[in-house]
Amino acid sequence: MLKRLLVGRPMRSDRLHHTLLPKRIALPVFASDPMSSVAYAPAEILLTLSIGGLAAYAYAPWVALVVVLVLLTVVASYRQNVRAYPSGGGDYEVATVNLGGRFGLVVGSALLVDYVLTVAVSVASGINNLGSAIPFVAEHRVGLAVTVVAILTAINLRGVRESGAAFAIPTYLFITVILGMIVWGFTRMVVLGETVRAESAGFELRAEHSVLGFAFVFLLVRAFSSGCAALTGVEAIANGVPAFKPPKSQNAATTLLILGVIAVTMFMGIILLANRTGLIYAEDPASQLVGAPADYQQKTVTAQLADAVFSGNTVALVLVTAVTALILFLAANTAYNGFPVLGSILAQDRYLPRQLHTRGDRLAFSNGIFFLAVFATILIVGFRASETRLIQLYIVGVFVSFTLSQTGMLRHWNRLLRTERDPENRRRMHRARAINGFGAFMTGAVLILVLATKFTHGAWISIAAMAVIYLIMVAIRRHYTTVARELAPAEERPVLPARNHAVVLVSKVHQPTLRAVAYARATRPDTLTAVTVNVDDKDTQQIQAEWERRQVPAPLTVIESPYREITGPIIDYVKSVRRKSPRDVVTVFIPEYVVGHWWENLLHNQSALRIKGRLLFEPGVMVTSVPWQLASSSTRDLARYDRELARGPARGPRAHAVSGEPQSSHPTTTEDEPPERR
Amino acid sequence: MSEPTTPLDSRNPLELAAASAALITATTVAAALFPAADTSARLVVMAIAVGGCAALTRARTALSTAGLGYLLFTGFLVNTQGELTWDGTTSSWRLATITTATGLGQLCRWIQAARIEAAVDAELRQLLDEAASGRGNGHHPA
Repeated sequence: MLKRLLVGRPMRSDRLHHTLLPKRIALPVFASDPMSSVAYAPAEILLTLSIGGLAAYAYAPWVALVVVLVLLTVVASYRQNVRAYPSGGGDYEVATVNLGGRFGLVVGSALLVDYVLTVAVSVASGINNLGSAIPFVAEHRVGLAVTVVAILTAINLRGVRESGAAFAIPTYLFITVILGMIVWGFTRMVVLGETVRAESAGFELRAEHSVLGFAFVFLLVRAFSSGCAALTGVEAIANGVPAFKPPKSQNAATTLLILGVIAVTMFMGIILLANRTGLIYAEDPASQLVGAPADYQQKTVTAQLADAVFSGNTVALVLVTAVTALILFLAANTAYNGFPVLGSILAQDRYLPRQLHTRGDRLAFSNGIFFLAVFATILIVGFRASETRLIQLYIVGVFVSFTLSQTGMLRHWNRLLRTERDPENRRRMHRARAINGFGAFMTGAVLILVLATKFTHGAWISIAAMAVIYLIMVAIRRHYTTVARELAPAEERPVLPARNHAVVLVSKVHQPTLRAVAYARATRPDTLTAVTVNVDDKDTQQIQAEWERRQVPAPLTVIESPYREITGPIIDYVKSVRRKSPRDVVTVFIPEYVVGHWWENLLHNQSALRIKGRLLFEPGVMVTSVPWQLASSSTRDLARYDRELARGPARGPRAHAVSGEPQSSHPTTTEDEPPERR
Repeated sequence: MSEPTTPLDSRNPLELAAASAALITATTVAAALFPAADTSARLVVMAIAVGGCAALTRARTALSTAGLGYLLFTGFLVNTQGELTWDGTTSSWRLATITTATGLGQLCRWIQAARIEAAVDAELRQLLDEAASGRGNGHHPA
């Protein structure tokens, strides 16, 4: 009942096409992450520059401009990706197909880590924003952040479209509120000629360290790499192409462009507005802000701007902080959409346990969602919901996948150009290659800078996690390959066993035992023996007497057990039968009770389970359970049980049922001709 | 009946995952049990965890575990929230401690493996001797 309330009713596979997203819903679902980055990326730039004092703030717009350049490059590059690879593997598929499985796996590891971090960073930042307006939230941010993760998990277990529709309004509200704040702020300053000052504008900013020369350049680079947090999440659309309504690639590319334009506008708008209002955002307000009141609580950048632009209007402040928190929670939701899909694809390629490939209730990859929630919660608790600390871990994985994906796209176009003869198509491919080439160069350069500036500040954790995940996935794949090789049928015809010896296990002379004997006889074995273990002489004598009185048509063999143990003597007996005739098989019939309640299993069948489990390790031995339905089993709700069993296994996102279209495994398209139409 | 002809690869694919989880648990336990200033006690906990992992895993996994152990120790037990630092001699001693623990763990594993191998050899020799003496007496072995 509780699960049904939280997760919702199971969804039929043939209803899955109803979960495909139109652009207006896909934008908030997939693009809320990069859009929400404007809530913390500008703040991170200012925070990092604050180390160098107020003078360093003058460089904030220039640092932001370089971030915008990288963002636009990445958006343009990914528009090529989604058109060329519509099957939703995103960076993973691009790297795997073009650079090889190992690079694909590096990307897969990076993306898995980043999805977890997206949830942790976004939720922590959302709580931080709410804390700017509500002190109670700031005081209990860890507990509340974990609660938000739990709520998002439950929402996503209900299904992708319901959550998408539910989150569309807040996303559009966020865009409206932030753009409205920027426009009104500049209108007041530029058109109306008013003075708009942030509450922190009057403070003096004390530099943490003296940064001169190379150190200052390093600080600028570090600020730039912090600002690159604005790029996180762009790849979510490329990974989620199958969730779009047809024509999938075109809709995904259009959504990417829209998100790029909106994100850049908001990002630059906030930086410029902060610059014009004299806003100061310090890493350590207590020691760095000179002239601030003793009880000064530093608000987030958006909260300070809202306060200044709307002249301290409380309603406006609460609206901005609440909507900003909401969009950040939606950004976490992006990861909830992307992580299970990627996990499913990796499981499909045998890099993750196959359970992750199974689509659970509401077709929402419930296993992956649970994994994501657990790891995000660990990070939030471990880092005390500090967004600034978590962001240090965040960007590495994103740029690893960006760089490898763009490099893969370069090889993709090079390969196609070798065979393409049509001049028009060649021209388009050259253009796409140039875009992806520039993207590879830019993202690669940023990756090096991020590694250089953030490794010791926490980025090593992401790298270590990626390495561990990579090695685990390689080992899982190797295991599956070994098992598959072992299970592959040989070319020669299987040899039939010479004879079949049936052994019926007897604990008492009761109906389940007699049914097992009857069934064993019905299989017409070459020999049939009933076996009981003598644990207690009196009981054994009773069994023998009853066996003879009923004239059961099978000889009863009594095995001695001096240490009153059951499993060992039976195993030894079965082994002895096998040893006498190695080319024969032994079939062991075990009577089992079928019970109606879970607790009855604790009271029955325990010996049978132990013996069965042990016998399965014996080669040439078949184990057959002969069920006996106890009266309590009639109380079992079989319809519900059937429903539970019917949940899986299901197909992953690359199966036809998801997209409703044949899968393209050989992406060969150019920008103007989406593969779905070919 | 077709029997398995090749032994299944017995290497556990989740060995590294389990070792990593053990180290994270050890980090949490050390942080909870000892104050931040008591880095020696924290180092002992981490060294025990790393050594234990090394005793149970293959050399490559043990090496990875040692590296991860040192990073977790410096990032979360010496500093906070993953910040890495290098304090010269002190850091060198800490690294040496964790490396030694790994070496000891691997040594235990090798000794254990050697003992098992010796026991198997002895059993095999005994069986061969029994078979040989059975033939000598004109009996067939069972």
